[in-house]
Amino acid sequence: MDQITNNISATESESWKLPKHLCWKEGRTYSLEEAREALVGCFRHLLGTTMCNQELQSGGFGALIKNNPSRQFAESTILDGFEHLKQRASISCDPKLVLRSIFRLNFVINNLEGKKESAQVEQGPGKVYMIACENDIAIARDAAMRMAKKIGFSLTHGTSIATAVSELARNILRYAEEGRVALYIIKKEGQVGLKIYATDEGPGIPNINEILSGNYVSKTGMGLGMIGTKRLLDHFSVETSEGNGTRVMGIKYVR
Amino acid sequence: MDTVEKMVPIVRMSDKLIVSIQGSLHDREAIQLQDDILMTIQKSGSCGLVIDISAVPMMDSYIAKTLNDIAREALVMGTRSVIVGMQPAIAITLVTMGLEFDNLQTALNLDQALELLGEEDGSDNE
Repeated sequence: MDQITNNISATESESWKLPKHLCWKEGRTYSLEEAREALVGCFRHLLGTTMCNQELQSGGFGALIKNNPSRQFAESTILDGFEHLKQRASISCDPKLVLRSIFRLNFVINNLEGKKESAQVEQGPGKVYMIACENDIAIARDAAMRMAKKIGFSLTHGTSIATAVSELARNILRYAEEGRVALYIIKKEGQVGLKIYATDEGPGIPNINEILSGNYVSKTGMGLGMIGTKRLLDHFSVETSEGNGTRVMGIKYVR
Repeated sequence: MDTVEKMVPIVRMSDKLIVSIQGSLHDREAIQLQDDILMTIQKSGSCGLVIDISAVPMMDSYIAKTLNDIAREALVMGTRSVIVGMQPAIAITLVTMGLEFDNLQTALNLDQALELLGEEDGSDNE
């Protein structure tokens, strides 16, 4: 980052400026809302469309800002979302331009109020468990229980983690027929924790907001699998949209 | 995709049924269990069902729903149910998740469970 700029060029002739209230100055920090506004504005310009917020949300930008603003995750989410939007909107725009814009917005992301520590999470190599049949749920669940015990979780919290894994694996099996559950040991500022990453290429969850608000009752369950899982964990985020699979991330720290 | 199908034992004790669930239930096993219990209730004319979960290490919303369903179906047939042997870790997990059992009481041990079922039925063995 040799040059701080408030201008982002999408094409040779056009350039887009950050609105005045978002311009970077020495010592300023950005709230989540401001970061979102900056990124949304940038992408709207790059893609040359006036996308509604919902489409941007479904491209993963919402998850990016709301749940995990670490730079690495932000970049990969933006690129994923960008590819998705590109296909849907038939736009030809060079992803490299996008990346350049990301770097120029680096200050925005890294200066989110009170969120700097999220860049300091160390993640160990993970173990991935394929979920394709009933037995796989038990395998993933037992592995989670063992891992939790190994890193020092109490029996209760280990059970909570195993239950969360079981819920997520069962959802994968039921709705997507197959997917993966990955378990990682993570360290953040001296705290040790376990991270669950459950992904599938299934039909996605169109009414995820309704489900997470606790007002939804599913036909096949008690309606509390997803939100129940959220309550068991310290951090929880879902990235999903209709036809684009589902990616669930959950973290629990040892107390 | 071979799975070993477990048969969950259903034991009759005077006019009560005791079901001991071992480990965790697969989808198919859960459905089989519901069928088995309801058939046994019909054949034996039991008026109380005790579900022993002391060998169940972990309960997710699916298993909780299965137990709820069994209790509700048994009730429709005239039989009340009590859960016995819940491990503390499960109790904490259930409360944290917000899962609740309706139509299903809990008891700390078998004696209490039988008492609960016996009392409210009005059938007195003394």
